[in-house]
Amino acid sequence: MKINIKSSTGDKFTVDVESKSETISEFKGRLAELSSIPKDAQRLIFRGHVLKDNQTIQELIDNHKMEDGHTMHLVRGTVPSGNAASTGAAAASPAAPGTTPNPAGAAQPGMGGMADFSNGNMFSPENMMMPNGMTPESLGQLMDSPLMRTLTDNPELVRQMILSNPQLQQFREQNPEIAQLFNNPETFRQALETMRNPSMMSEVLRQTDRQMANIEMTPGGFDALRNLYQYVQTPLMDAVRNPESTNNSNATNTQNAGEENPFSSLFNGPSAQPMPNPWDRSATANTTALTGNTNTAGAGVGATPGANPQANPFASMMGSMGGMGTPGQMPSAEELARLQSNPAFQETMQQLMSNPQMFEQMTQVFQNAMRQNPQMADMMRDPEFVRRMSDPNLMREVSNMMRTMQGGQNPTTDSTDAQPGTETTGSTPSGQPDMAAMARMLQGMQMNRPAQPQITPEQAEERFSSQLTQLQDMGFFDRQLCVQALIDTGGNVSAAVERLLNMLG
Amino acid sequence: MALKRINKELQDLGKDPPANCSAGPVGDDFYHWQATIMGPPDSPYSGGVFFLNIHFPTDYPFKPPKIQFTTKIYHPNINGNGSICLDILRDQWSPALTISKVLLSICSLLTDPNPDDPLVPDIAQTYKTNRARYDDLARDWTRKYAH
Repeated sequence: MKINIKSSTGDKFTVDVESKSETISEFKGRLAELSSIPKDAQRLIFRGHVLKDNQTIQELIDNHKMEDGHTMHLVRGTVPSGNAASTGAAAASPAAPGTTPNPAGAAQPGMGGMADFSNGNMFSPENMMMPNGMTPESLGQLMDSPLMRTLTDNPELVRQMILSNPQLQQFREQNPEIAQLFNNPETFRQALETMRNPSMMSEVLRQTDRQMANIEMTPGGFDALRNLYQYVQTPLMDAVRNPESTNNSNATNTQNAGEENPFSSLFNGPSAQPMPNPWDRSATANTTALTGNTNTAGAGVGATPGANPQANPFASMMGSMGGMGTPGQMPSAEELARLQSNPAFQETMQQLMSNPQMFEQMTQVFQNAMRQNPQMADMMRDPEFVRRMSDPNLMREVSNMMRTMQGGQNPTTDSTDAQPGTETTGSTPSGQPDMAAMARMLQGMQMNRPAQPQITPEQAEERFSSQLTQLQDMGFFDRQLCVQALIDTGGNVSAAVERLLNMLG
Repeated sequence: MALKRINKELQDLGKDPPANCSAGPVGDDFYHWQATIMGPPDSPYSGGVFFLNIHFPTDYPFKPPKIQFTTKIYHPNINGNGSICLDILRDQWSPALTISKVLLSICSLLTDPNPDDPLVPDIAQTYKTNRARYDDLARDWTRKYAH
């Protein structure tokens, strides 16, 4: 019986099968001589099925009606790792002891490697941690070398090294949130520890990658990541890439510690748990508790008490904002209430609120949603509103309302744990929004807020000029009506169209 | 009728399958097939092997087969469930088409996504605005799920 083979390399050849009891493994051995693909890397596919090594030709004839002259596909799969890793390690480890004895000096050659991060995709695991094509194993070996040992046993030294870099210094001054990270020796120790253990690191990387993907799939998530990239990654990179600090011996990359931290604080350490939903604070908190000992950067999503909350302003930011943005995954009111009463969270919120630049970043995340609704964007920029938003009472109110709205889907919440002063809680179990609570909340937001002057048509024309053009392009030529409709709808074009159509009809 | 036609296709596929697609029945049910597509070399899916499920309707070939990816893939026209947004699987189906041709069309969809008719708007957006990032992510997913 003759079998045709079509290889993914483009080769075609014919193989004779004499014995029907020949196994696929033996068959692959013969193919290895004909093709350039080693036996272990071969994958044979017949009729949509990947053939297993222990199958025999007879089984293929029985199960898949294989006949003389049929064609199989041969594909190169992944080679089981091992060989490649050890050669990489051999090349990398001698370099480590060779670096200068001056700790500050040793820090700088390491930075050279990081320059590679900037080309291509920062989020891919390779670029993220292994810029020089290092495998996790080789990095692990490197970390075990004596010099690195000294470093890892002495986080304070690492910190000193980082502090002595003037560019990084500047970066820290511009980003006080990140500076907090640098000040915590524990984060370095944990990061270094992770790097030493290849399996742990690959796990961390895998999770990071997955969670990045999760965040990205969430509305506004990509913008959040982009902001992170813009405000954290790029300046950090610029700091370490600056020519005077880069001697470009791309041997050691100790300073990945500093590199990794801003991001690792976003994520939990490795865990056997299924990937937590990054927005679901309760789930993440639980996971953090379970995996507390292996946590890379300590804090989970800001909700974990005693886990160094200041270190991860981003995490708590993302967590809290994410919760607001996706009401479907809203944590239950009790959790929210607990979170609010958590001093760590309050502090983080405070920090967040007192930093206008950071808040600006946050609003950028929202801007996609807000593009439809410029008034809301204005509102978010209003410091008074921001202050009101941070008012614990108001937040409690909001969370109560959320709970009421969720009443229908979430029968487990009952009125016994209602917050003081919210007698309406639980009164609308049908899942309909509680109008009274909503009205009160809005009232609360309006309170103390300087009365907004009525927009004049001239101002509106200026503010909504793009929307106005859109409307006119659609064929609504009455400028005055259009402007009025835009004012009434806060610049929402589709709502304005509806309004105009109603007016005309 | 359907069975005869399906058998004919199976024979043709056995003798001369397309360069990077392969398909055949799962077990004894000739209406349920499994297929593999090797990622086209000129695409970020290169090196990956993607599995698909094929269900033939009883009135095949007058109705299109139902085809779904079972391997996760990062593509603007293929969603998380593996559903494929391809006109010939819907309103543009013709009885003259065969599984072999459909699989080839899917291959060419891998090489040339159609971001203007996306099933996953996020990916389509990335494809349009940041091609390098799309390539990277597609390669990552391929390495992660299709190796």
